[in-house]
Amino acid sequence: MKISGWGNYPCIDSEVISTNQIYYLQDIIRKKQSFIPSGLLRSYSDSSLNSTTLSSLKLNRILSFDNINQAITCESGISFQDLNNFLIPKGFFVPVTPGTKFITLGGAIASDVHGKNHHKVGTFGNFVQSIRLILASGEIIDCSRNYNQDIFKATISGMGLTGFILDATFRVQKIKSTNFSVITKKANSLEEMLELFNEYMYYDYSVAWMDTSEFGKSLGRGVLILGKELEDNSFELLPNTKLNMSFMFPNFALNHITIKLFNSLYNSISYKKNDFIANFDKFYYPLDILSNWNKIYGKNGFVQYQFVVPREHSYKTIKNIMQIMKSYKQSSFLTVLKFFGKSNDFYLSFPEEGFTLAMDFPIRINTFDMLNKMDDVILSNNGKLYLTKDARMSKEFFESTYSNLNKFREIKSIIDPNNKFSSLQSKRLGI
Amino acid sequence: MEEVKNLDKFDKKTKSKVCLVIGGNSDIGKAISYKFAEDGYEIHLAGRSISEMERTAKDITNRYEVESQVFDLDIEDNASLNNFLYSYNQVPKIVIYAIGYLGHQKLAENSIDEANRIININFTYQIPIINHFANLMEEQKNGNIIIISSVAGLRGRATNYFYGASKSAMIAFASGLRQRLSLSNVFVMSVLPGFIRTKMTQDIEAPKLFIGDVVKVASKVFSAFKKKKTVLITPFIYRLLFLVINNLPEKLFIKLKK
Repeated sequence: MKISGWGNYPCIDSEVISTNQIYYLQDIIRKKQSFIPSGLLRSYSDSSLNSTTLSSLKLNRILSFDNINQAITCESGISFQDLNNFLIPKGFFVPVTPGTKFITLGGAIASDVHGKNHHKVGTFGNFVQSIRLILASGEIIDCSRNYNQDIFKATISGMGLTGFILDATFRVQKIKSTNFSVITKKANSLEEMLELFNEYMYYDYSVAWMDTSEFGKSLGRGVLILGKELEDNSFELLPNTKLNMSFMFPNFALNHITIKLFNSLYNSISYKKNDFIANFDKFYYPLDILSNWNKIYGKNGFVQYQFVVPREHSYKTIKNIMQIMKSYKQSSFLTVLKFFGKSNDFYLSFPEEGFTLAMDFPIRINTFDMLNKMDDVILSNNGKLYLTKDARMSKEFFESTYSNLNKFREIKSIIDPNNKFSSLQSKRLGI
Repeated sequence: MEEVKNLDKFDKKTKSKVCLVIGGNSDIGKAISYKFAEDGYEIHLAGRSISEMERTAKDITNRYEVESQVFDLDIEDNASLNNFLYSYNQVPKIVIYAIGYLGHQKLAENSIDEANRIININFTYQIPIINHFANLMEEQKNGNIIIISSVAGLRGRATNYFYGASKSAMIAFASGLRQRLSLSNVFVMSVLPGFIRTKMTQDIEAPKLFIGDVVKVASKVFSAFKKKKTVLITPFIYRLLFLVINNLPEKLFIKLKK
């Protein structure tokens, strides 16, 4: 069966094994030589691709829920949508969520995902209490901060390379409402934008949209979106209304002009509304209403480039990156800027204190060349790239930017000496 | 089969809103049980692999806030069957028989063991269980039995006629039982699913149009049950397909092999 990540690049043939029988899964893991666990395939490129993939989607049971200790135990294939539907009527929510609810618990752990509240609470991994893992030997083990701690630290952010996450227990957040009071602040330049982030750091949720079709004086203009949970005790699940893009756009649909048009349009629309109330679904998951929005990039697919750099290097890095983009006559359709709080001790976790910028680029002849140039800037500014988005960084670049890689490799060599758990990405990067 | 004795020890009162699924690990049985749990039914899962069923039972209880229990039952083992019927001392409101074995057609053509296994798991072994609950329900004048058969039982085909024959027997059995129990306010429903993607069929390829989704099929079963529909063929495309297949003259049908 043909599968690909969210960027539709690369697209490969894979034997997809999907089962809810644990003994069968253990058997497959014992017998097969090379495979990677997979879920809803929302990582952008090759991190959940291999010639054999072990789909977790049929393992989606809720094994326990403790509303006093605010802890839930679920199998790894449960989606955030399913989790929210379960938790919201009880007055709870997942503690951290990325910009889509179509991810699995297993994926959230393996990518150690972050959300709009990272500067306040950190990553999803910070809320995970324990994990049950099927190792390459077929053996099932528990790991947590107190028990098999190294395996725990390698598994959270471990890109599915330490074993198959069977189930996990994590802390949920108590909510007072599913509505958010949203405030938008306009920034006319990059300097202004970075200052706004500073000024409004006390908000629980923050993220900015940046217009990357503008250079010169208004380079870095955009809109900072701030959110605060209301306390109106309304716990509302919205019905699933979705627009489905069931066809692929032609490869040329997204070009310089349409991107500029979209960006200017977005910019002028966001001026008008300063403050408004948004339901959680609209607030957290604005793009989920357009299912398969990835198809607007056409069959060639796209790559997302997400980096983080320390705060003190942020201004010059972002400026340099934008200049490289300009020289390659590319611009990013959707560009998101966010300030990360403190990093954690999970071995391959992405967030570091500083600014992170995520950009989408359609795959063209010069795209990879441009990204290589960008890598040089990131490297010289002590930055790094997000594995979950990455499609093409070099092994050398990866090795010099992930400082705990050797600790990860050490654990991996003990629990999976033959590298049975491996993806196209892990082979590319020698993880 | 040995008769289960000490029937008087049973809690003969029909438990309100209890749904017992025979084949608690089968994908179809499980999917249907979720629908009844959503409707407020207490769910009892009977089957092999207790630890698997326990995970499902916990999920049902967490999601729908209904009670759930698991029972060890291996229908191929007579002692296990008797032990189950003896220890399960109650009459549920609904019994669903959801055990199925596709088997290997080619193997069955040369091995009487495989042929027997297909016939027994799909048909023979259900008799003591269905008899047991049918009699109790008849006595109570209350209850429902849902038997999951297959469209394969509608006409035998070269590629799976052992399986088809056993499913055909189930259809006839359910039909007769329905007629008998209609006098006692006990409802017997036959479900004839088409090709559904489950672990039983995971290695079989089929055109996308004809592949049913197990959750959708379960929804159909639930709503048909509520409407007291006696025979359900689902997904809908199979009703059209078998309208044609069932009316083909045998001479023509023979020529259709592959």
